[in-house]
Amino acid sequence: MKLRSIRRQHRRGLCLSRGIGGVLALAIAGLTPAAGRAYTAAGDRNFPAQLILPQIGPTDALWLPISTLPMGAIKTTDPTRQTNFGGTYSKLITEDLGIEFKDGLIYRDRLRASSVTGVQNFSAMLKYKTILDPDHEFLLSVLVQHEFGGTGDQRIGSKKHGATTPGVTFGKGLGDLPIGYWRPLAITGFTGYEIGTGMRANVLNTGFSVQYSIPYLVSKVANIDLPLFFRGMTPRVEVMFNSEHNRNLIAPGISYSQGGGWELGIEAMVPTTRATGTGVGVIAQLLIQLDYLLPERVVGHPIFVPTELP
Amino acid sequence: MLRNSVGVMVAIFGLVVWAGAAVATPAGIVLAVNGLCTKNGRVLNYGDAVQIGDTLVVLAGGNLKLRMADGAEISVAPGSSVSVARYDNAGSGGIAKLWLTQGLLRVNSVTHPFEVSTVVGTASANSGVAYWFVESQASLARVAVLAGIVDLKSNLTGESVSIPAHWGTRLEAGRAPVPPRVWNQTEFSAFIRVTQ
Repeated sequence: MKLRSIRRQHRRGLCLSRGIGGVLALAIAGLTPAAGRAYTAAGDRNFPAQLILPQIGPTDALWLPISTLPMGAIKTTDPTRQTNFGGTYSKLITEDLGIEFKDGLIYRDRLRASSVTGVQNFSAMLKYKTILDPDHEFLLSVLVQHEFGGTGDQRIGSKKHGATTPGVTFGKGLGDLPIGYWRPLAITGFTGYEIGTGMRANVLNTGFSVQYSIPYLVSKVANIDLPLFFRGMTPRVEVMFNSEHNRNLIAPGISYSQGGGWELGIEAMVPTTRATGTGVGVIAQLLIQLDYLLPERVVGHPIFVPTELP
Repeated sequence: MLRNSVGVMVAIFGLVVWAGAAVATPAGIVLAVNGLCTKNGRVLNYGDAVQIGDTLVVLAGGNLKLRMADGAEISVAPGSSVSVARYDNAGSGGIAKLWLTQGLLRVNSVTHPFEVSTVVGTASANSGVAYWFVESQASLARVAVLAGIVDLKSNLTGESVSIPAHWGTRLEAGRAPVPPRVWNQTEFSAFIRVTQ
């Protein structure tokens, strides 16, 4: 019977080889939508997919972000607006180890020049869930990302040289603390150091988010009488710092889901420096949870199933 | 008048026949029993029939396995108390309803809807074949699914969530269900171990 094929999960023991030299790139470059975002849970805490920061844990999912941001053009052909159409596919290799592949299209309006369209550099990321503490709603992952230089169009800013980014990302819910209606609060964080190859400079990327989960409020704290729409909403703000040209971005918005294997997020993108942008942009993202929609197919569960349940 | 009397008599006769048939066709039988298990206060033995309305209690250290009339199998963990509220014979859209006062069930259901009610909410398998667990505590229910899809509905708020294979969730008294998440092997193993 099919039940016999149920997988056994939970095995650790994979070491991240440092010189993976080839995986990842937090396409945070330029603080545009980054790779690796998804919904992840630690105990009863669901961390919604992030739009600016990398996701905090590996998963089986597909993300489709779209963003647009006004840019500060000074000289001819400088971009006046950049619009991104991205796609990230994440696959669990084991229960705790996942890999992500990301690429996307960039459309640029330019000052006193025709607009251009091109593909971003392809990037891949290995992510390992290192700590999972359900009782304290804490999750920490280490990751290494590689952006493959020269795989995108340089006319839209894709760099000729690649970069490897080791990093760490975490999420912490405050539900284990005796703070009443503040328990739905959670914070997430990320730090990665992008090591460029060739002429490419090294860059420090770091950021955090603060979120208040209404689903957590109504399921764990108090059954507040809210309209159905609000019961699936998680307001939050993401903040991202990039040491290259001091690019910083603040992104307030919401994540929304009613279950069913999808999640929608939308955030404003507020640059805090001219290098990041010159006006308020917007990013929206659709998350498709393959592990929810196709749990018994290989796209919906880890590739390696060490043993089987009875 | 005579016509009405005849009608009443026919109705009573029909009820008697139906009740007799119901008694004659058990909802299930005991497939395995370990330790002390009782049915309506009497000790259960291998092969005993389980009828609609029966309350089964598995004491600490015990274990009970049932095969239901539709082919479903139910394992009852130690420290559990479960009643058979309804069990329409399956195969043609049968409906099964159990009441789990406390404890843990492992259900391999083939009938749908197959409902297990707890103090705080109701779990319902709505797929043809489902392999799932439902746990009932005083102010909490947990549901985990290994195959099929199971819904968990809050008694108070009426909100429900759908739980696919390899996922699980919990429901606390007076709350909406917690959004489901992927369960890991450790969590499933804990349920499996006590319902072997």
